[in-house]
Amino acid sequence: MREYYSRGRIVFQVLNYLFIGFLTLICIVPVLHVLACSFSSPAYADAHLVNLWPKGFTLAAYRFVMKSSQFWAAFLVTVKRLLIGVPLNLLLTILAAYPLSKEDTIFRQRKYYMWLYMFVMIFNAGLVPTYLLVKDLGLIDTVWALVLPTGVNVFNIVLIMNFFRGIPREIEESALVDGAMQHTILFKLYLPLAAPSIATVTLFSFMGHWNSWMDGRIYMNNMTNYPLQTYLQMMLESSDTVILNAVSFDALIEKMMVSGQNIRAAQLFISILPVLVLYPFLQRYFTTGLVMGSVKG
Amino acid sequence: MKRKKILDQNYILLHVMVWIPLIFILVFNYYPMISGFQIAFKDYKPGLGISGSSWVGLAHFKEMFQTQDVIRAFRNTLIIAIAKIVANLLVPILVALLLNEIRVKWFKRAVQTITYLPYFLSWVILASILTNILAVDGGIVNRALALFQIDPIFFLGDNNVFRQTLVMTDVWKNFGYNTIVYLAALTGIDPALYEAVTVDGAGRWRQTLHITLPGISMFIALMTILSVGSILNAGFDQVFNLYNVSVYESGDIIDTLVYRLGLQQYRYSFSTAVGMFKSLISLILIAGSNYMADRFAGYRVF
Amino acid sequence: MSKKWPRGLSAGLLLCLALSLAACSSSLESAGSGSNAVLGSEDFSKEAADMITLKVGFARDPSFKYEGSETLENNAWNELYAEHGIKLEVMYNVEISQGDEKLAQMIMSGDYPDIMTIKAKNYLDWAEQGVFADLTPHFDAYASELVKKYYSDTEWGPVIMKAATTTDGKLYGLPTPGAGNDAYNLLWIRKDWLDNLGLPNPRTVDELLLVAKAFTESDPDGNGRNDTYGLAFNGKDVFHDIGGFDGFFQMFGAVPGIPAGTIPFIDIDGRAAYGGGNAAAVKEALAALREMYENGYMAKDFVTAGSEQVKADLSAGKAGMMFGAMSQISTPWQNVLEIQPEAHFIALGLPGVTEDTWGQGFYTNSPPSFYCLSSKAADKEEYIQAFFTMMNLGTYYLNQPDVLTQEEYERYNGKAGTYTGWQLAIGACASPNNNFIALPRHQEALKTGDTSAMNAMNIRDYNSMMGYVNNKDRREELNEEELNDFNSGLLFYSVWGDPQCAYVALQSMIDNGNIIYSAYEAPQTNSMMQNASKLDTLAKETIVNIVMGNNNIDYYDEFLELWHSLGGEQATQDADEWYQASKTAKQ
Repeated sequence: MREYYSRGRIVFQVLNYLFIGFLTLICIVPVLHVLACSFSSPAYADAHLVNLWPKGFTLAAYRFVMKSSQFWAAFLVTVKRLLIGVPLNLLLTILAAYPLSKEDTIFRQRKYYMWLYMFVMIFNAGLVPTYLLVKDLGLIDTVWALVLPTGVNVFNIVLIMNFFRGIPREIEESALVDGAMQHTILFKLYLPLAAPSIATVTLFSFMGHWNSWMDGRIYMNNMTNYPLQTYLQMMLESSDTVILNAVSFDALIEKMMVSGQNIRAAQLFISILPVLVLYPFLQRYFTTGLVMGSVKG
Repeated sequence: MKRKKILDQNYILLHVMVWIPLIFILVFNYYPMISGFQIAFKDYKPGLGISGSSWVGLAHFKEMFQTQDVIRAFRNTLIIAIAKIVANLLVPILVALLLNEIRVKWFKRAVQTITYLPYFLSWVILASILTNILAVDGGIVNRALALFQIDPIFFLGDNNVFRQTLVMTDVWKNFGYNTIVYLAALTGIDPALYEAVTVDGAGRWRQTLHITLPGISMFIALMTILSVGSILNAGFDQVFNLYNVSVYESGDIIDTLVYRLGLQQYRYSFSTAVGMFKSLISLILIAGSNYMADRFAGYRVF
Repeated sequence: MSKKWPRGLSAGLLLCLALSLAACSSSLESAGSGSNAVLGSEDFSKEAADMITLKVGFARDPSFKYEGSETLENNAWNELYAEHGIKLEVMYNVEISQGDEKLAQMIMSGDYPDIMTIKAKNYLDWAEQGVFADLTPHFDAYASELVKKYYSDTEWGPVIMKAATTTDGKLYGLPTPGAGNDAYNLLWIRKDWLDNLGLPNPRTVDELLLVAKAFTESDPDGNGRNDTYGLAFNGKDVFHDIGGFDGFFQMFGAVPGIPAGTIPFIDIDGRAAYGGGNAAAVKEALAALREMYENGYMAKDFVTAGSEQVKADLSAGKAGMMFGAMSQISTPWQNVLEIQPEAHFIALGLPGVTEDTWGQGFYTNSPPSFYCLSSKAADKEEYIQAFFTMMNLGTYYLNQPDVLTQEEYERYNGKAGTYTGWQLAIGACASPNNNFIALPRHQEALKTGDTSAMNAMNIRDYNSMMGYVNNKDRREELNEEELNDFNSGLLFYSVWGDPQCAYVALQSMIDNGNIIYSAYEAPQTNSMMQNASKLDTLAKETIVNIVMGNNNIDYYDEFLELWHSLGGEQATQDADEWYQASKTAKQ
């Protein structure tokens, strides 16, 4: 493509870069602020006097968090649920997406299955019945309560299903002619072709498990079993209530030492860190996967 | 004959495949619904249990239409959700178009990577950060506004701006991700089209109007239609972590109301009824939008 | 979140504050009650050959640390219980702000603990639904002498016992007393700023406004910048222990709301009425608040400022005053010392409208919580016995610093600033007023060093206070650990040590009778429970809107009408019924 380099164009380019640069800045400034707070002394952090650079530099907050077994226990729970939940999610998604991607003429009951799946996207039973079920199954306070009820994600199924639909039928047909079974076709042929959208779903599943906090709150009866976000949510929400609820001076004192803004900032930052480190690498896969999964040809 | 046998076995295999996840759904979603649905039609008293509570028929649903809080929640949900759909459409497209003009590769890469960041942070974390920077007295944003002689804005406390705050922060969180999607769509446009038009002397702006936008219009239409189905989910995570009493008037959505009614006011039956009504409407919307996508774009989502 | 939870508990918590720092009030015979007083009329330890397992749930602060090698299963209290044949099975152990939700969840699902601490707002409702066991026939048999005396020989005991009894005369739980005199709002103010500006302690509302103006406009910290303001308010919670508006309204004799979120009833013209029902007084208060808001004497963004923000402003040396409870100045004070080493906060009783009046603290003895036994254990004798045993033990070991040795006291109660042992206990009767008894002892000890009058609890707190007093002038030299001690000590100093500390102010309020008494001390009725949260929200929104100028002051009259029509009328009638009956009963 040829470019014009008129005056107007240059002005536009400058403004464009500035504007885009500004947008980028607003995405990173908050994180810098949190980082600064985490390295600041409690007095400055509590007083909201910290901007983008630490004041009263100290490592006390991080030392505290490192020693805090609660924090790391929560971290571990989240890691566990990732290790179990993401593969499970993927497997179930693929198993459902494949048959549902077949034409109605081939797979005659497809429509009914589709309705069954779709229905749960919209209706849910409510907190108490679901809790009762999980309790009756003996899953309370285990990582399975975080992984099984959400094992099937219909949105992801739809995504992969659409991708599979985009795969030419000839591939399946010739495989059938060769006498292949459906599961072979699925795992050996379709999956490799669907790599981008599988990667996308992996990302979605990962983020879902990483950020989810409500289920931990409902299904875990013991604080030590909280996943990371539930723990964070509790810490961030609670400081109001707890000071108010400090049932003795000693508790008040303990609370003061624990809930300084700088400590919260340190916890925040440590929980962002894995994501910060990982996602730039994964970014390039998801673009294609997403687009191709949502738009047919 | 053998071929038919394989076809038959294959056919059964398909069923088997579909059933495995289905069992999960039956257990964890459908089974609780049996008691879950009843609660909306009963006067649930925990001490008596679900079976011990008495039936009240449609009483809760009737009450719903007369309760100010519920009507307000539905209104807020719709307004906020529609605003979000529009904003999450316009901003990423604009940014994608602008980003498309950026030639410096490393800059483009860096921008995409950095703007993608808020997408990965949970609302728990973001709310904590946002409460800090949007604070009126001393929050970074307001201090910056003060430099331009603008009065401080109570982003999180003023009903006149709270919805806008919700929408803007949602866009801020998602635009990095959405931009990448639209950028990809942009690169899917045939370069030859641009060539042809350039030869005719069209400037960049004309190119955008006549080639780029039409080129992705199908895509845009599709994304819009698809999001209609989730219009009643205005974003529980976000609102829950950002709202407070003074902005219930503009910001309380159905899901947060249901949560409060159920777990804080212990009006569990009523909250279940509200939730069920919401699901019903969502069902109609999804079916409707799917039908429209099929007729309009020949595109079947489900 | 913080956000969205009803803040029910300041009264009860401050009460619990008294609980852990409790000494037997002098009206109970503490001398001579050896361990026999712990148990009921029979000695159970011999019969407890097989252990009973009781299911319990804990809602505790995550900052809680165990002492030494103690764990959830293995600690001083569990040992104590085991000695008496009781083993605890922990059904849930969550953070304190989620305790309500968790317990509600458990009860709703039908599988709940055997022993529970129930908040007042749920007590009647759940009792009616058969969640708790009826304790009436068992109290006499199993409660220890100490516990019985507690409920009958003290001034608050019979009141709260009555509150725990349902209309058909049944006792479904053992109540804890309200915070009473410990919970009043005080005016916390920067003494060093007053001195810099040559202003006296504000005695009236007008003087308070003048001080607020001076703090805002006259550069009280002398740094040449216009970066301070007068009063920090919590507009997010509106009625709160930290920066709440309830303290401000109480200067005018009005109580439109309290942190607990229940409807405050006071005596207006001989009848029980809504605490905000005196429209003239409230509107006067609102006018003063409007003026302050317009002139910037309070933060423009007060509506989004929760207790964190209030503390932050005080910590940053931006704000010079706040209304708050007796223990709530320590965090801001310890923080602001970092940047303004001369900072000195004192507590004042609430100013009054005129030279002859004072602001009034709102006194309620309504039990904030109850210890209940699950109805599933109602027919099992051993469980009922065990329940009372735990109560007896708790009362004995938590409540008698005069009787226990220092070592015993610290083992079961905790060491100041490092270990809160009492959080491991379930159930105890507490005695308010102990903090008042402690005041002269601390003041005397600080002057003369004489600690002979002190009991175990006083000594523990005094030692901590010295961690601040001894190092007052060398704060910059302290290492991290010493600084922690310094900060802990500062808390006690602000409460008991300073010549103008919290309890000095509280004591003067009591001495001068600056108290409004709650006109309703029984359990919440249905109409109260169903409407309390809605009416409370309405009051909050109205006040905030009027102060900000979104509505004019006369809108308050409309609010009152609305208040009554939305269920307040019925609630008031219920309260007045009880009030009139209790007045005749007293005569």
